[in-house]
Amino acid sequence: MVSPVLLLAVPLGLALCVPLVGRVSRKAAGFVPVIASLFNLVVSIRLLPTVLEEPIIANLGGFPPPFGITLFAGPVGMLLSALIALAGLVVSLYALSYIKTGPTVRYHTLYMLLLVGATGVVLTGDVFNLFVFFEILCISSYALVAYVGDKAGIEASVKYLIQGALGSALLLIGIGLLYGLFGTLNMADIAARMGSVDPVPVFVAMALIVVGLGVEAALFPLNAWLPDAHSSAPSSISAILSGIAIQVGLYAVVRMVFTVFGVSSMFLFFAFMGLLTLLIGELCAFAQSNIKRMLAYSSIGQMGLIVFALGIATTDSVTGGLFQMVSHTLGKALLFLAVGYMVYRSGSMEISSLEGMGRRMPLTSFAFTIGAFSLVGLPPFVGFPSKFLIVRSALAGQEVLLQVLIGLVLLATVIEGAYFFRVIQTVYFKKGEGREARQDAPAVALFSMFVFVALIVVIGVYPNLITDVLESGASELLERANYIGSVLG
Amino acid sequence: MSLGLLLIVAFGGSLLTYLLGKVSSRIRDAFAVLISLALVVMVASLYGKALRVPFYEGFLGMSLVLRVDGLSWLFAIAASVLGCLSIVFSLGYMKGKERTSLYYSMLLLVNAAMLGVVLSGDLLSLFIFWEIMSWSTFLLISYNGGPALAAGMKYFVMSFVGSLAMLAGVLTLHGSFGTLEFTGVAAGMSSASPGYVLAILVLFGVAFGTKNAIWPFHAWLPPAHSEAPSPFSAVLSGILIKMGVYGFLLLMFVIVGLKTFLSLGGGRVEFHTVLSIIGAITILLPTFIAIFQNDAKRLLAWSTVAQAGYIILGISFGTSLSVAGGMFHFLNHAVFKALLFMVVGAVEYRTNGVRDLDSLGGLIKRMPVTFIVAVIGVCGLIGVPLTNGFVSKWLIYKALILEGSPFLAFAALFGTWGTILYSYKFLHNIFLGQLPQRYEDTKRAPFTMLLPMTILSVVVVLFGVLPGIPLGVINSIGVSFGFESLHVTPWGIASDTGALNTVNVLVAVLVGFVVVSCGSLDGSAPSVTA
Amino acid sequence: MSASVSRCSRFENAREDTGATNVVTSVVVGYRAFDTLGEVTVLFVAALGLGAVLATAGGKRGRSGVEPASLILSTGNIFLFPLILLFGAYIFIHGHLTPGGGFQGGAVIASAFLLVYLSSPGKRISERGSSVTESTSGLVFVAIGLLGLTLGLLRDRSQGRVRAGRRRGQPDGGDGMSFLHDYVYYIGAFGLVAIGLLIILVKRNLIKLIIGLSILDTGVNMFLISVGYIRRGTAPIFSRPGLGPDGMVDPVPQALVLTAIVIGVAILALALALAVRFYKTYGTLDLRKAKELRW
Repeated sequence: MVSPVLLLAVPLGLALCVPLVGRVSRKAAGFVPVIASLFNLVVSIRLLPTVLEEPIIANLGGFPPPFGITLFAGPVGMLLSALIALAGLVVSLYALSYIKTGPTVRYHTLYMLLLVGATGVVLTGDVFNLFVFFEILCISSYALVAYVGDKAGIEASVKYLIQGALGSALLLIGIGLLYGLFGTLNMADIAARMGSVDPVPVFVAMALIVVGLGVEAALFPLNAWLPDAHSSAPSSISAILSGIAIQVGLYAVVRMVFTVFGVSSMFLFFAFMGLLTLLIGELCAFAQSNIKRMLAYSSIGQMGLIVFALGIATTDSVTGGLFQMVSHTLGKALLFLAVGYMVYRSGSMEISSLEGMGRRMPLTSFAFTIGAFSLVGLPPFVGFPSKFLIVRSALAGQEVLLQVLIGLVLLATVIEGAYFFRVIQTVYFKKGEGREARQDAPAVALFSMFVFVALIVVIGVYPNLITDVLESGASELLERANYIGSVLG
Repeated sequence: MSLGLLLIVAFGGSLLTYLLGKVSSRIRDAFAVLISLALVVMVASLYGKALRVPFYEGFLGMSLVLRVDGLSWLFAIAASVLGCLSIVFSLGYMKGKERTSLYYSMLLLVNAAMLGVVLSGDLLSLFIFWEIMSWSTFLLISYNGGPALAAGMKYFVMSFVGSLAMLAGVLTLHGSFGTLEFTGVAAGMSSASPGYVLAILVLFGVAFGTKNAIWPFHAWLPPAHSEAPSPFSAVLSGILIKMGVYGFLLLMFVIVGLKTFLSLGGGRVEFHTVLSIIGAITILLPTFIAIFQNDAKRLLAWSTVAQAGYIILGISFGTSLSVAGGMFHFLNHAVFKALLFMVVGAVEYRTNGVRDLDSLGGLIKRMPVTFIVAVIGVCGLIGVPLTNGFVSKWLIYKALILEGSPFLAFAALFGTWGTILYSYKFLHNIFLGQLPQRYEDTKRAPFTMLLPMTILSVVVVLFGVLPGIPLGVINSIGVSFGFESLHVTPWGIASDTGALNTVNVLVAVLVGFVVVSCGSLDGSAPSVTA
Repeated sequence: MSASVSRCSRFENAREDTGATNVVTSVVVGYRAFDTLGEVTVLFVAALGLGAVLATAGGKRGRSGVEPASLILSTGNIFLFPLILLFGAYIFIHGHLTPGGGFQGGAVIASAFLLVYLSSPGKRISERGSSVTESTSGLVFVAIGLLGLTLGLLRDRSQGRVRAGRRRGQPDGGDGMSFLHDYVYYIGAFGLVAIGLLIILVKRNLIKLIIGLSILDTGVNMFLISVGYIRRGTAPIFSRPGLGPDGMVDPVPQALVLTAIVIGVAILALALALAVRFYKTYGTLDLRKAKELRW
């Protein structure tokens, strides 16, 4: 049986090779992330059917918990690992043409390590290991945000770093508290002992951990860094940040809250916070005139929607939340990739500078439109079944409170539609000035965008391709006892 | 003839059109016409059939079905015919415009989505096709840029709010009954509490009312219909907003059920009465506003809002006669309003985009055929005897008077007076009076434009003289709802309280004509110019 | 919340399992080697990040403008350099028997190289050499890990060795002084954390912010170590026969702290590099002046 450790060891090893490869040829260095992500994608998909039956537990070094570190590859972990690999693959293809200037070899290495960090977070079963890989993810992203090197990038990176480091410190205190209370760092072990300890310090630990992880997960009000960082980073990194990093952060929060702490009484609170995040995110996005900032606020909003769905905590709603994660990754990454070249050609990030792009860059604009439609939730794209599931799950119980909240969610969707459609109108139906010469994005970039387009359409029309995995993931998150049993035996 | 195949052809045709456009615009144009014709034929072959086709099992645990019955056939044939005619019209209108591949493929996509909407057998499919219809419409409305952009946004926001209200309604129903197929939901609704039924009606009502542009959800229509490219305005006014009518009919008579619908409401005020009154208001105000419009398309747009009021009034009033009248009026309005938008389109085309009524005039001399079809269209709109509009309006008046609703009858009549006023303004300012210098060289409308217009005008007269043909179909739909059958003859409707028989009308008109002519045989012919 | 004495009893087989006398070493490179791999990666990331951020800073520092070091320094360096290396190596190697180890030894060795830099400002270590060394050493670590993984899969060690151990007992009862004795470290730790937080929240100068971050990290690390403290416990090294795990402090927090320190250092390094870029771009270290990104 293929061990999930390979999903971490191989990309890590390859990442360490990149500088060596880069000595030989700068161009070749860009292909290493492609190979590594491809490997991960194949392995993850290969392991998916296995983990749907039963999660794979890998005790590293053979040491059982609580001595050693355990990797837990369940449906959620494997799904996210596949998603990370997919996005990583496509964006690394895009980067082959997009990242041309600056210390490109370091870019590619940092990029790969970001992905390794993300994969580690979703596959680990140990809280301190979570911290370590989380830090790999975060620190790589601090560096990559500053890659462009302009004023905005440096400022954004500094602010991001300080807030992130603060969060990490709090996270570490929380983990220390956990160890002090339970004497173990294994998630399942802690979960099993949760009832035997005085709840007050546990609550403190949970609060610290949620806040610490929440910075990266862009939970309101910890997301002040996000609009700056995602808009100032190079677009390929924005795509990965919005599409992968914040979702991995959210996964970490969810794993801790649902599985380790197991507090179901907090769920309604999370639903509210999610809704609040959603509304604020969408309203702020509507007010933006800078396209990348608009997309960044939209990411905040979507995270809020996912948190809302997870907060309702029924199998259906968690399935919807996981589905929304997938559709957000596909859609938002696509949007950033398309915008990357549109901004490059027009020379400005203002929405008004995108006038007439439909003529100049038809394929890219088309890709952008598909991504936008998907994110708003229009059929036949993947955003529709995911939003549909969430709304359906909220209305299933006939609770008045949920009906009101869903009304607000739908209101946020209208706002979302408005600002995206505004951009589409600008791109297609406004006459641009200046040279109208048709010059679309390079072939590699277009290919990567259209991989996403294809997935958005295919999964949108056939959502059942992934609903099995999502439902298994939902039950994994909701049924703690199974998790504990799998690990501790 | 499989329903699934029909939709595949429709949607696939749209996609292929776009791709073909990259190769050659001639091939693409021919292909577009071909596809739309094929769809007309396919829909026509479904006449009289009652089918139920599950076409997608297991979408998120739900089944999607298609179905055809009388109601859906009527709307499907109207949609496909109008779609085909507007594509033919576009062949001339869109010459030399840019981004035509997008235009044609979106036109076909809207067509396909509308077919999807009326052929759906469950509420989820309906919703999905409804959404596709909405976003493709948005793209077409915004097509011209400039003021069309604001119009498009307004349309989109209002329509999207409606759609999401519909989504809430759909999922509430699913939560209560576990199924979304019409039959299943209807069964569930028959035992639901009146409050629940009312809530569902309101939720869906927002969606359908917005699409149908009844007051107070009408604000999006005038800018949208006037700024869209004219062939698409024809489709918009002609059939797209009637999707709202379809929705109402489906909701009121299939899902909620005739009896429940008519008895819904507390005490004095019944729901359907409220809806009728809303319909009446929708007739009155916009008619009044139309009179003051100077933009030809905006005038027609406001007229559309008003006429939609008639339809809503008819179907919500709830008697066999009024519902038949409402449905017939939907069909008739589709015909003559599309015709009138095409007239404007032809004039626009030949005058390089002018639609301002104040600057046009006298075009009768240069575009005589266009003038004739315009007159026929206007007669239909007003409801001159021997045109289709007359029959449907007569049915509605009769129903209102029979039931003794003075306010509503007055509204309907006043609407007709207003219609006469603004229709005359329309005709006069475009075709009559002085021909300004700059239009001296205006050519006639091209054949590709005249053809659909002529076809439509023939239908106006045909349905006016032989209303029995469409009324037969409509009557059977009414019977399927649970109304009592009207006695339909080819020439009209026979009933106890006075029949409509167009032969009689024809004779009366002829006699009247003779009398008037004789009376003025002293040489002074009634003047045409005012 | 002092650790129960018996928490550590599970490590009684550490020597057989991992072959190390120092239990902390057992944890760091044995039981939790995966974390150490991650830690190494973090260092690697920080080095890359530093390089990326400073690479575009532009301008090579010329030889001119840098003051040569004083005579005392440059002469002293010749003697001190090998001595410091030796001392560092001793700490490193002897760490398995006495407190010390790779960390501490490494820090000392690094200071020797810093001394070289300070005393001969123009000297450079070849960048290519160091980057190749970096990559190769990381690769070797991963390769060994992979090797171990393959071999380890052939031998399942999950049976037998687990000793659940008794969990939380109450701290030994005692006089008021023992309360202070148990908890003083926590007070210190939280004090540092509070100071660090205060600095970050109040100060606007970037370097001060970074210093505050460093203090915060130190406080957190102190907290972590305090969690592992057991009264009357000694260093977790099987340094004399008869010393069992009952007489030791908890080695796990110490291992964790080692990793946490490295991560903190990595963040610090990156932050300082960003500060350099910030200064070059804005001309000031005042964070308030960075107004590029408005709302």
